Amino acid sequence: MINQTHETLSDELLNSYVDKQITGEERQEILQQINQDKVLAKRVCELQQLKQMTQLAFDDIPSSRYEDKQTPTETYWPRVAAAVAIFALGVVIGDSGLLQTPENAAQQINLSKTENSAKQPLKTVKNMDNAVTKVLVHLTSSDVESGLNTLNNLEQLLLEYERNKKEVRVEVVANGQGIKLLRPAMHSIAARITSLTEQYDNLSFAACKNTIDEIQLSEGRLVDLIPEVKLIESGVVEVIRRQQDGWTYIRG
Amino acid sequence: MAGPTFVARIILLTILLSLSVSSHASSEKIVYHLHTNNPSLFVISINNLENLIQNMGNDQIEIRLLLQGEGIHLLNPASVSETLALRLENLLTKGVTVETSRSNYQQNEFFLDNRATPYLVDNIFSRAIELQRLGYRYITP
Repeated sequence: MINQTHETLSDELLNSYVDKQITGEERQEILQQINQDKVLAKRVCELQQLKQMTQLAFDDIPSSRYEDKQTPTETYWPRVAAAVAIFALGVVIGDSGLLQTPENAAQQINLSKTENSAKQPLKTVKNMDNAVTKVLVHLTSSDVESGLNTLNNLEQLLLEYERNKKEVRVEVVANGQGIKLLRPAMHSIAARITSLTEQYDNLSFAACKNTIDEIQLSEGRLVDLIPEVKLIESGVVEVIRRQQDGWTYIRG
Repeated sequence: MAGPTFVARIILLTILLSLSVSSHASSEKIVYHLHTNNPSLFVISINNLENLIQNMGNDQIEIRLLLQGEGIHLLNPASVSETLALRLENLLTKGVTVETSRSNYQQNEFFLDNRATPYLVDNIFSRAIELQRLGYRYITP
């Protein structure tokens, strides 16, 4: 029987709850307390996020490099010399630009061009490779003006890629205050999102379930989202994962 | 079988080449993205940029300051103090380039501080993507 408040519930007990290592009865009791205690709900939410991020961080740990450790023998030095020679050759070739494609060279020329001794901006988006560009736009603010501006920029971006016949995928992830922009009550934003997602199937919107749970607990009612928005477990984890997968991050 | 002199020469060559390459590798490129009209964020941003330049050195860092939407108010004398405007002006002399979209500039041209003429691009998101693909690190306050 658990009979404690959020101030007295130990971190150990809450961690066990998050890790699902307690009995069904204890779990029920903690759940009841979470429903009645906003501070406790927030603590549990934070622990869940921490757990997800920790799991994520340890997802791709490479296996030990020491398993095949070998003892150096008399053939050690020639091997080192060969490795060093290959490295030196790589450095020379890489630095001299012998293997540059014309596109890369053009980009470098753009970068090093100067006018009036100040560092000048690059001129265009041209000469990029043809790989699919993947962009994650992170919404964290509930400011409507800023949200509309983000949607305008997104539309221009999608148009530009379409016009240039280049592939792009855009995912808008909202968490924290950003969730408010995805509620049906935000009529101007909702209408734009509906119209954009109808027009572009390479654009998607996602909302953080952790934030929604938190809002539901604090407001005591269900949070409505516009139908085009899918739910994801954690906005923060999504942002990290996408960047690990090579997506370009932009704050909206 | 390679002799010790040959090995020593290769090692020496590698060290010299690595040293010459490391001077290129130390330069840093930053894309700094501002999209709200928030005076306290403007101060934080100018602090960030000054610190970056101070820590890295003028010639070792290249900064593109992207002003999206309301962020253009960084160039509005009514939104920033004269001191902050001067600090921004000073950053421009150290190689910081201010950029905004053509449409944003045209809509707000009437209030802009003419000491900091921004470079105009078609779309700030495309620009942020382009710069990141060219090796710029993305920072936003």
